Amino acid sequence: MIRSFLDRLVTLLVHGAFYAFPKDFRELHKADMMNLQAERHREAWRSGGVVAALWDIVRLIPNLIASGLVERINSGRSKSARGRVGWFGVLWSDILVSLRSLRRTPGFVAVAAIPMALGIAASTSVFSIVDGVFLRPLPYSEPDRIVVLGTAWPGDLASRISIPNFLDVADRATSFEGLASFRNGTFLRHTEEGLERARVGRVSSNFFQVLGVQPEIGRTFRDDDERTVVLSHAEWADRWSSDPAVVGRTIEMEVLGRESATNIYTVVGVLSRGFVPPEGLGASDEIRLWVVPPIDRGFIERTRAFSLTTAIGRLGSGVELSRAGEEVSLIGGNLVSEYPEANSRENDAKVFSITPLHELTVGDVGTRLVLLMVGVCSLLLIACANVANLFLARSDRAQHEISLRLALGSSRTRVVGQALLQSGIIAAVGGVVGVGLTFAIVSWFVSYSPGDVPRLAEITVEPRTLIFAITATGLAAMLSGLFPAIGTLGRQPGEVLRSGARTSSGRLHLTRSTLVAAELALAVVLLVVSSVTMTAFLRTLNRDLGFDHDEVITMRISAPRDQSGEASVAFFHEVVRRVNAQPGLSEATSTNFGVESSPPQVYKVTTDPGDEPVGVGTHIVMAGFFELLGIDVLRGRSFTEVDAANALPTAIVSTSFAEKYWPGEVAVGKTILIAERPAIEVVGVVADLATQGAAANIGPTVFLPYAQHSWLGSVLIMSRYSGDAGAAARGMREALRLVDQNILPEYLSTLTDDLGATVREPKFYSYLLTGFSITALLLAAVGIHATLSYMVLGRRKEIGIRMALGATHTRVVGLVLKHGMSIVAAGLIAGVFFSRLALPLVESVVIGAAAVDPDDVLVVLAVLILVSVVACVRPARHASLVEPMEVLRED
Amino acid sequence: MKQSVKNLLPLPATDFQLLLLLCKEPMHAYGIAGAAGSDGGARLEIGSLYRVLARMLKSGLIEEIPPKTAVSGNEAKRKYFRITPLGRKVASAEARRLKSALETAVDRKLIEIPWRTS
Repeated sequence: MIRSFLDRLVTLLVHGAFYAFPKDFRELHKADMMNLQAERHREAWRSGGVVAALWDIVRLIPNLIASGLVERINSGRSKSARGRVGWFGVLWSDILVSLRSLRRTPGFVAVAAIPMALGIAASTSVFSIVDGVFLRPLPYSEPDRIVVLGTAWPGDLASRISIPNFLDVADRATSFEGLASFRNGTFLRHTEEGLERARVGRVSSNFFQVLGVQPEIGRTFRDDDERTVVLSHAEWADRWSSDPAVVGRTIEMEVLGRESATNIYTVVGVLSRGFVPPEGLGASDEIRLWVVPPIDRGFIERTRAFSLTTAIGRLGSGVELSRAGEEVSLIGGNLVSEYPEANSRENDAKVFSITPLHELTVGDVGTRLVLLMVGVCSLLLIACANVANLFLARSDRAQHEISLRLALGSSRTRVVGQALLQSGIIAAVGGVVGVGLTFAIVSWFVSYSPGDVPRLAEITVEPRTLIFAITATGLAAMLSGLFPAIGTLGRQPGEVLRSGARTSSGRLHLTRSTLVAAELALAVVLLVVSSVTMTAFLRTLNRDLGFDHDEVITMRISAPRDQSGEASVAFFHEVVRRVNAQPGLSEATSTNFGVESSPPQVYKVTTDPGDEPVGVGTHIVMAGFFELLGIDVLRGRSFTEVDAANALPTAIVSTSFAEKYWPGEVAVGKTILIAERPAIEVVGVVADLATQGAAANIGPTVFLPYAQHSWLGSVLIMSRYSGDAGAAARGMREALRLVDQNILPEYLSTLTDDLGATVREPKFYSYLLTGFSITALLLAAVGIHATLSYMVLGRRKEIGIRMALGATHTRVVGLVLKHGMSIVAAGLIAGVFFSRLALPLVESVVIGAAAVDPDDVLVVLAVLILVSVVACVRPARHASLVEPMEVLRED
Repeated sequence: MKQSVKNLLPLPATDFQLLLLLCKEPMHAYGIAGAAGSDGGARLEIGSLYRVLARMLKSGLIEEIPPKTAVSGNEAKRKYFRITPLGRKVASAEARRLKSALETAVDRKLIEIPWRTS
């Protein structure tokens, strides 16, 4: 029983193992071998039973397979030129042939593999960075289900909500698994060195559950927590040396501005390293501590009119966004009728709505991505063109070799297979180097972070892109590697052989030159785009913002909670007066909007009651604002004490506002309408200013006097200082303390520092694009060099004859340079043409690009020409070194 | 494919071993496999054995002969191999080559076997 089963198994195994042998060997000897094996097997059974029989098989099968493979290799080696052989022998001998052929030209392997590696590395690492920063879904569990809940007057962006409204929606809504709130806060922290400002995230206890975030150690908040704190990973690493026993330790802090009592907070957990605070809510990496402020419902109820917090909700599973939205707006409608004084005004009511968090976080990055993706694709295209070009450049020699093989009887499929194999080997080398380079670049980028990139921790090499880049360049190599084989197959081998090894075919030559010219054209486009971007960025850095930000200090404060309306205005006026009294501080003034709190308030403004109102950036400023910032009043007057609460409503507009609404007319004396308020008279026109920093566009702006819009809860006090900014900051604090000891600054910084933060993003784009164009330039130079080198090689005989007939070295060098420069010229012309087409896209994406004169940028093309000339030098020199007699004797 | 004696030298050890076996009488693979193991040489697995046989057939050192008449069963299916005149020449050339190698080894005092001349 066992024996018959075993025998059958053995027969099967042996039959299988025989397939290792080449077919002709099997035909000759298999029967005999099977015979012998059967006898041996029987004998083993007889002498040693099942153990010996099995042992026999264990020795036999590997031996059969090994012998078979060796036989295949040997037969492949000895018979490769003759007729039909097994696939293995063919493959093996082809690999040997390819390696041998590549070993003869190690320079070619390097030259072809390097651009491939560069193309793979450059495009993949850039895409990985862009992907990590902008494209990757937010790092929360099921981020699609997270929405932002907000209220706004009709037409405005609903990103914030008042705390009582939020609590009521959270109580009543059923579409959500949870609703949580978040506010930025500043605490004063007691450390051994003294008091220290700390950015704090003030959240509801379910905030982390709603985001779906797990802590690294400990836990997040519970409903019954009192005075607990959760640490960010950075805080834990920096301050607590990643001490695992941090849970249970305490931090002493006091809340800035509102309460002066010091509280002890107990650490309950640490967030994981990958946790990213939701930037869509205005949270940032700078938040190191997270706390749950106690809810004082009595106090909070009085703030229903003020959108003090942000709120997020996690949709219940299977709940449609639209259904949740309907529910929220229904509840909102009820809240409007329940609390009309807080949630509505004369003719309209607050709208309650939800927005996906991703939409709020990423915003209008989309258009910029188009630019970067165009860059990535161009680079990849250049790399492919380069690889293809190099293979084509070699194809003359390859054609000769292939024709020789065909003439000697090699089959066509084998010739094609060999060509594929050769380019495949090069593609593999390039791919491996490219992968290594990609990882190196990305890890370098993460560790040095040029340009203060956000979401840095999320950047990793994107595997799909890597595979795509390798496939693209690999395919380019394989296809172009096939070209010579296919070109030869259509012709008689003898014809190719007779035409001589070193004469190049004109058609191929044209293809190659076109490829290089196309590469150059793409490089030109990238160069122009990146230099426009870089120029725009540099101009941004030195841009005239329309106001003087040197030596201006800013401080954000809130009015005491028992003072609102005119009382709060009086409070802010008093602070301004006290600031002016401080030594070293002068020209103090106030506004509701600073660079640090983007975006500005947008009001619906129109100039004609019949027109549809349009959102316009609006700044509420105190008298002295224009004077402090050195803003010229072009027409009319500035704000003064005259513009009091009970006076005629007045406004000052920016030049671009005046030009938009009253082109060619005098703006002073006209009226504007804001919401349902009485008509407001324009009393002055000021120059345009970039209130959101250098990187932002300048739009029409309206300025309104402080006293007439007295509902402000929080304002920015600004003052000129001279000398030390630290002393100025102390003066600001002191002034505030003199007015009210319980109010502390929420934010204190110089205006110049605030503006610096606004150029982060353009800096990032400029670096990326510059990286692109340098790589592109390098690749194009490699392309020119290779093409000319092979051209010289291909025309050695011709050059030799010319020299024998009396051509001078100068003429020969000129011949090569002329050829090279004609390629460069074609590439340049096409490149400039396409850049002109690309520029409108750039201008729509890069702020300030429109102001750059494209002709200025063309100067950078001089660099490209220079690099091209350098790339021509070596081939030209080689041509001039041709020894006529030697060349003529060659064939 | 006939080859000259010189091209085939030095002979791989297994080939030489098999030629020596076949010098006595034609044998079938089973006999060769059995004898090779017991003759002081290396034991040959079937795969290796047939590679060597195939190689020697191809270079003309051995040839197949039809099975003996008047046999039946397993015997009838067996292939017999015998040494060719070329095989003999090669084997004796190889033996001479080995002999001179051995004499050198004795000269250099590597071994001390008394040389049997006849």
